[in-house]
Order: sequence, then C-alpha cells, then structure tokens
Amino acid sequence: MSKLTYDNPLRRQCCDITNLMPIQFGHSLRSMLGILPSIDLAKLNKIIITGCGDSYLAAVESIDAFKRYLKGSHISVVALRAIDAARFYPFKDDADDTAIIAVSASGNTARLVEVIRRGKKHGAMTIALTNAERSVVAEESDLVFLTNTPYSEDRSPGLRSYYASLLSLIVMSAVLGEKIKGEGVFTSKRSLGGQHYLLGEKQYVNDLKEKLLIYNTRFEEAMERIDDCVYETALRFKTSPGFECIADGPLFAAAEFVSAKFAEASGDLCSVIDSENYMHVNTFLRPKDTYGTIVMVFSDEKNVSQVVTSVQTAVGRDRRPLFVVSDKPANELGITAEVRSCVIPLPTVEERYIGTLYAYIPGSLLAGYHAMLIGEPFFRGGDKWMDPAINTLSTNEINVI
Amino acid sequence: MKKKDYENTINLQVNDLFTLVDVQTDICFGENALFHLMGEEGFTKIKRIIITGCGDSYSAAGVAAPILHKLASLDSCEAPDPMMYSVFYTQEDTVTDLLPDEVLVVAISASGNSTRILDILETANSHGAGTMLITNNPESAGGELADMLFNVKTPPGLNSPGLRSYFVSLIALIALGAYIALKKKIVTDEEYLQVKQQIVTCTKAFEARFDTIDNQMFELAQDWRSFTRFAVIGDDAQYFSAQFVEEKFYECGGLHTRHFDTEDWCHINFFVRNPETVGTIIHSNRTAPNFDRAVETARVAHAIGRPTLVVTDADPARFEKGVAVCQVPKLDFDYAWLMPVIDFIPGSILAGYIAAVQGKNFFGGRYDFRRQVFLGSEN
Repeated sequence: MSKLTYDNPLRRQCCDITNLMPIQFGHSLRSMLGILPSIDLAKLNKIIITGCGDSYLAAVESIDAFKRYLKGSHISVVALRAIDAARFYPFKDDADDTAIIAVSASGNTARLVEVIRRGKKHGAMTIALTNAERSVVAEESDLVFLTNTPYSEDRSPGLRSYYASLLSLIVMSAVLGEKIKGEGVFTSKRSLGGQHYLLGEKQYVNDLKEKLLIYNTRFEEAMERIDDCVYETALRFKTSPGFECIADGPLFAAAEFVSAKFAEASGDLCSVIDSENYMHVNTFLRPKDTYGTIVMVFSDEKNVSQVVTSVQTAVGRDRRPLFVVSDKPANELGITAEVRSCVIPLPTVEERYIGTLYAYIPGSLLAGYHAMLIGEPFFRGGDKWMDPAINTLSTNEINVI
Repeated sequence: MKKKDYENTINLQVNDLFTLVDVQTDICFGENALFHLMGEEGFTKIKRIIITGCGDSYSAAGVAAPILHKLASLDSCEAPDPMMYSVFYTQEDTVTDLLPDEVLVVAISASGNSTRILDILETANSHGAGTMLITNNPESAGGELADMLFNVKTPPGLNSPGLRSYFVSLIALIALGAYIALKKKIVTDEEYLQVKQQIVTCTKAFEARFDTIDNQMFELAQDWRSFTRFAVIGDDAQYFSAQFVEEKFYECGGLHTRHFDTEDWCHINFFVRNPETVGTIIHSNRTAPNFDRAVETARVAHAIGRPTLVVTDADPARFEKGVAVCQVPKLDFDYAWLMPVIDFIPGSILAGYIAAVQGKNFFGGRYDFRRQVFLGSEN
C-alpha cells in the first residue's frame, strides 16, 4: 500500500514546513520590527516566555537562541510552564523591568489571560505572541507580536503554529540581540526578503536568515527520503501499544512535542525520558518487544556515548523496536544493535536551535501515520473531547493571584 | 483477596518512614550536619542553587527546587535533569551573572559513585561553582570530587524500589534550604527548628492514617489491576512528586506512565484514547495557588471517563462525585508547602499493589519483593 493512502494533516504540515519557512520568517520579522520601538531595552532585565502545550515547548526551544543573541547583555530569559507563570512564579512587586511573552496561536487560553493579568498587576510589560490579533490574549496584552501565519486547511494538530511560534521567538532573539549589540543604534538600511528594515552592527538577523535558508534547503532535499523512512517505520510499529522518546538537552522539548502529537493524533501515551534516566527507570517498561521507541540525537554532542548505551540496552536487553533520528546512520554513532535509522541534516553547533525547528518532524510524521494505520480519528473525532463543558481550556475560571 | 498476600517492599518502606523521620531530621537539621561544610559566611553568600541527580534523586531535586527558592530567598533554584546539567550546561548557565561562590551545585546520590554524578560534579567544578554531594557514602568517588559532603547517614534498611532514600533526600534538601535561611537570618533559630518539627509532625500524622490509606490503595489496586497506562499530575513541587510516583509504576510493575502539570494535561494528554483504562492520579494541595485548577482537572479527567484518584489534604467533597479521594493529613497552614514530604506515599503504595496483584515481580521481573532478593533472570 502506498504511503499516500495514509496521508494526513500532520504529514501535510510536516511536508509544507520548508515552504512556510521563508514566508513565516518575513512575517515574523515584520511584526517584531513593528513592536520593537515599544520595547524599552534599557529598562528590560528579564524576559519570561510562557505558553500551554506546544507553545510552552516553543518557549523552551527558543531559550538557546536568546542565550546566543543576548549573550553578554543585561537581559536574562526563562521559559515557564503556564501554570507556574500564572500561579507560582514569585513576581517582584514592581516587575517593570520584566517582559512576559504569552505564546498562544489561538490567543484564547484562559491560563494565558491569567498570566497577562498577573503580569500587569506586577507592572510587567506583556506581549502576546499569537496568530489571532483579536483574541482575548492579544487584546489584554500591551503589545501583539503577530505571527500572521498563512492560512492552511491543515493546521490541526498544531504543527505550523508551533513552528511559527518558535521561529518568531528566534527572530525576536536575533532582533533584540542585534539592537542591543549595536548599542541601540540601527545603523544602516538593508533589504531582506523584499522588506526594508534597519540593521544594527551585528547583522544577526541577516545571518540567521541565511543560515535558516541553507538548513531549510537541506531539509527540503531530504524530506522525501525522511517521509519514506518514517512510513516504513510506522508499518513496523503499527502494533505498538504506546511509544517512548529518548532525548537530551535541546532535543528533549522536541521529543515532548512528538509525544504531544501522538496524544492528539493517535491517542497514544508517549513517554519522554533523558538517556541517563532511561537506564534508571524506563528500562523497566514491560512487556518487552512492544513499545516503539524514538531516539533523537545529534552526532557531535557530548551525550552520544550515553545515548548509545541506552539504545544498546533498549534493543539488546529490553528488545524495544527502535527508531533513531540523527544526522548520521545509527551504525556511525556506534550503535551496533539492530535499529531503524532516519538521517536528518545537522545544523551548526552555534545555531543548534535551527535544528530544533525541524528535529520533531520525523516523530510527528510517525504519529500521523500511526493514527491512520490504526484507523484512529485525530482528537478522538470530536464529541465529548471538544465539548466546551469538558474541554474548558478557554473557559475555565481565571483566578489572578 | 487478602491484602497480606500482596504486601511488598513499598509498604514495608513506608512503615519504616515513621521512625526514620526522627533519625533523619536529627541528622540533617543538626548544627554539625551543615555548619562545618561552609561556615556561616559561605551559606549567606548563596544566591543560586542547581540541584540534580539520577532517577529518584532527580525527582527529589525537582521537588526541592521551588521549595528552596522561596525558603532560602534565592535569586534562582533549578533542577535540570542529569544529562542536561552534565552535558549541556555552560559556565554561563551555571553561574549566570553571579560570582562563582554565590552558586552552589548539589548532586544527590546515595552511593555517590555513579558515572553521571561524577560528570555532574566535574562540570560544576569546572564552572567554578561550589559543589555539594548529598550521599550516604562519604568514601565515594563523588565525595572526593565535591567541595562539600552532606552525609545523611541513613540507617541500613530496605530500599528497593528506592523510597526511603528519596524521603531522606527530601529531608536533607529541605534542611539545607532552612539552614541557608537561618544563616541569612530569614528565619530564626526557633523557625528553623519548626521546619524540622513540622516534617516530623506531618509524617507522624500520615502514620495515624496509614492503615486507612493502605487499605484504600489496595482496594483501588484491585479495581485498576487490568490497567497498563497511568498518568500522574501535579504542579510546582508536586510536578516532581508526580514524577516520583511515575518512577514507582515503572519499577514495580513495568507500567507505562507519564507525569504532567495540570494545564498541559488538559491541553494534550487529555486526548489519550480509551480513557477508561488510564489510571489517573492527581496531587493536590488545598492551600496551593493552583488548587482550583487541580479540582477542575479532576473533574475533566472524570468527565472523559478516566478512573481518577486525587491525593489531597482537602475535603473530599471539593471533588467531583466518582473521583476517588485519598485524604492525607492536613498540614499546619504555614507549612503546607511540606506536603511533598508525604504526598508521594499513596501513589507509591498503589504502584506496589498493582504490580503485586498483576502477579509481577519488581524491576522488570528481576526483584522478588516477597523474598526481597534480586533474581538471576526475569520471571
């Protein structure tokens, strides 16, 4: 049977990411430059990025880009879970040196409204990163960083929105870094993607776009091969009663994203564990031979030896069906056990966050194919799952503490 | 079914906590435990703590991080997983904009010898931060690498799957936070000792309810005996006590389990199919700022058909009818943040009983919990 028999919205979104990249970059940059004059960088000491579900993961994945571009500046950046930002994080009484970025494509999440109101109560600047200009999160925020993601019929489960949020945050980090490192003076006027904007001395935005375009092209060239490989893997993993991802460091949140797509697409529980704790805990998952396991690793990171140890154990002792997503075939990583290998392009070490814009694609393709192969409707087909009396994400009580 | 036939090394360890708490609080809160490690001035300088460990120790680190952040009035306190810290943290990540002697990296390891723990300490040392090992083995290689060794001196006893060691790690970390607060003059001598006393009080209060809770978990284990998937939900410190319970489900029964925070569960794992076969446990503290969200999460879980257990100090009437409620003791309002000292117990007991009624040995079939011996092969 052809893989196209099992085509699905998640697959179509994955396959369209490389088309979306240059368009989204332009939209994100334009929006960011639009709000930039309203951000008092001299006053800003802290940026808190938060969101629910995929949006929180985008926040986590963006942190390395902020570290890269704001290195040496006075601004620190953290990613917080929405419930932590809304209810637990100890804001200062006077947090006017803090900006809160609430990430929500739909902009209608109750918890983020709560975060915005709480932030305002403490004097923080609030920014909605959203695709919905007239949403409640946008309307309640001081500034709106609009992603303007092009409309697509294929937008659920959210993957384009995740990509747009993460790319927008990376663009934001480069713009802020460029302005700060340029000592706040935009020194020249350049053309980028048909737009005109003022650049600082460091040229971070231009460099970022160039590197993104190069990586995007490499991924585009590899996409058909990746898709074939994942489809073959999906056929082999069809009877898996659940899934697990093993990943470390920057790839951990990408693995969490894959886990989320399994829950949404096929309704599978997909656990996520780092390679060390796999050996301590998840290695005991039983029965053997059953749980499809996805490993994500870049070959030039220092965790490779531990990942190899975990893979050898997972296959050799735990007899897991195993799928390795890396920039090299598994045998070139030192894995001698029998696994399936999916090779993706390797981003540079300095711009590893570019890799996180794409690393979740094989796992997400797998989630989509698995749903189709087992005949499971995405989001369980609606009914009680979308009943506003049960699914209360936008309607549950707002309680500003 | 007779409960006695299914008793296991989780129950036995829980029973031991009620006496262990006196011993460990005396050791960990004793003036000699910490003072000689850094002196008064050293503790007052600490502005940032990074805590990590492997397995249960990582969960203890995660529970303690938000507690120490507030208790010791730190600029920041975080608990990265062991790979994240040992491989991916840069010197700037460790020290941020502080001076190296304002940063303390705490590694937790009962044995003190695992390769990863040595990597963690070497990484922290290379970043110039102060390093502390919380261990039961002062002669370990980790003890040699760390600037400071917090020897918890846990009496010998059962620890498979690790539960006593986790409890001791929590006490040691809270003692560390309270001691820093004392030296920074955030708390008085009396308040410092009150933290210690409240740990003892809440553990003893749990003892008074132990038989009831143990029976309740055994009954529930029979109801949930056919399940192979579980979710454990909690926020803030309880996010990591949920992770600890998750670990017990793996270790005892080899059962597929995940932990979540309340909000993200409602966004994502809410959608896991066949909800009527996913045992779902929610940790909820009646005084915590997320209490209403935990109540709502329990309602939603029940509404989609999840068999749901709430572990809480709140009145069971606060939760939807049909949700099982395991009521743990109400703590003194000012010390309700100590709930993670006891909230992991019901879920751990449940994990042990479910494995036992499913006819499994622990640790992937390699540990006979009745004879308390590791077997040569799985069965």
